Amino acid sequence: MTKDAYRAMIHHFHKGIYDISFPTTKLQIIEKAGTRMIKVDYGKKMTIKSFVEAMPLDSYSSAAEFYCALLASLSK
Amino acid sequence: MNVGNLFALNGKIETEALSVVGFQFAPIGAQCFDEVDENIDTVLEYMERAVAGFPGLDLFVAPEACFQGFPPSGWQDYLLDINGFRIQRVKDKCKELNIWGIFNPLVKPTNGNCYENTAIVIDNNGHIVHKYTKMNPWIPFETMHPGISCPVCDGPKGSKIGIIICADGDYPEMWREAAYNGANVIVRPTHYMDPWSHAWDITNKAGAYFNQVYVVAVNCSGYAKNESFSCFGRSMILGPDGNVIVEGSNGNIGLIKADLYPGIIDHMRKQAVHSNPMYSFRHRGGSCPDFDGKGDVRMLYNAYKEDAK
Repeated sequence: MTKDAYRAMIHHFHKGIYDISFPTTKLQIIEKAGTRMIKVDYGKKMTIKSFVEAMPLDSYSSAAEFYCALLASLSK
Repeated sequence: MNVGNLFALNGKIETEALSVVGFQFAPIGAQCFDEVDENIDTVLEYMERAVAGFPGLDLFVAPEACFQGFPPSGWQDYLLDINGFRIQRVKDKCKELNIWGIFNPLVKPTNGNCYENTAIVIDNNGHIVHKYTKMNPWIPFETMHPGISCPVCDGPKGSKIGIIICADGDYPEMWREAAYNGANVIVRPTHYMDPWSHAWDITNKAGAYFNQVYVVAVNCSGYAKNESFSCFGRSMILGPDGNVIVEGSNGNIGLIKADLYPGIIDHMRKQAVHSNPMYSFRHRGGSCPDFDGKGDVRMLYNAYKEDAK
């Protein structure tokens, strides 16, 4: 039996970077929002830093570029 | 204003409101300089009506060929000198009323032997701060010298103004060029005629939506003296989602007005995740792991390669 898919991870992530203005760098995102915990699954939370550190690119010209890099790293 | 975007726009948006008026009328197809002067008089008169009707107005926009019209022949005989006394009257009026204006005369040759179709931006001090020469004359009838670039200028209230003229807007690359060069407001003066009313509608909407930009499209309106075509008016101001904010009547003289918020466009281009065409068209497949979040940045469209036939 499989569990239901958790649907709100990206929503929580987006809420977690509510005060990030682009363009910005990976380092600045980690400094400002890295320690925030977001719910990523039923009964599971992770820091934003844990995602951002694994992402390609060191700077992001726009939110679109940032999320492309995030989704690319999640898909690997 | 964020229609079609999946993600919320994070962050605080600070922007001024840009009060814009578009003036639609039927400029006489000038066959003498007296008729040119009559058109100029009309434009100056409606600049005054615009500030009376819409106090605090920032930007006044007139249609293509607003001083000369487009008679079937003879327009080359009544070209204007961009530094001449007739344009000076318009500059003086902008200064007097403390407003910016965009006007579109047919001007004497500056680059070759042929005349040019050139829009000018006059600031509220009466100075010409920007010029754009139509890159896509309406062939075969417009024998003018085409422009070579679509630069953008800083306008009032945080606006970055790109101008495309009439038939330019029938080419999607012109809208894209203005937006890519940074325009958050694209102004399109036109002499768009019947029976292209539907094309007018869809090109303005598509230009706004595809490029996430405000559009101020101001058309001639009515059946002018000496002209062979009737212009349908329907001047319109559109938001970056391609929806019409306000539209003028069909065939009548008139003023349309809207408040625009140029800072929203700038913010969307930085903070929008989905529906961010200025980013995504140069980074195809940006979230594909094969491209490490950058996407495929090669220019692979045959239509835009330099050796295209």
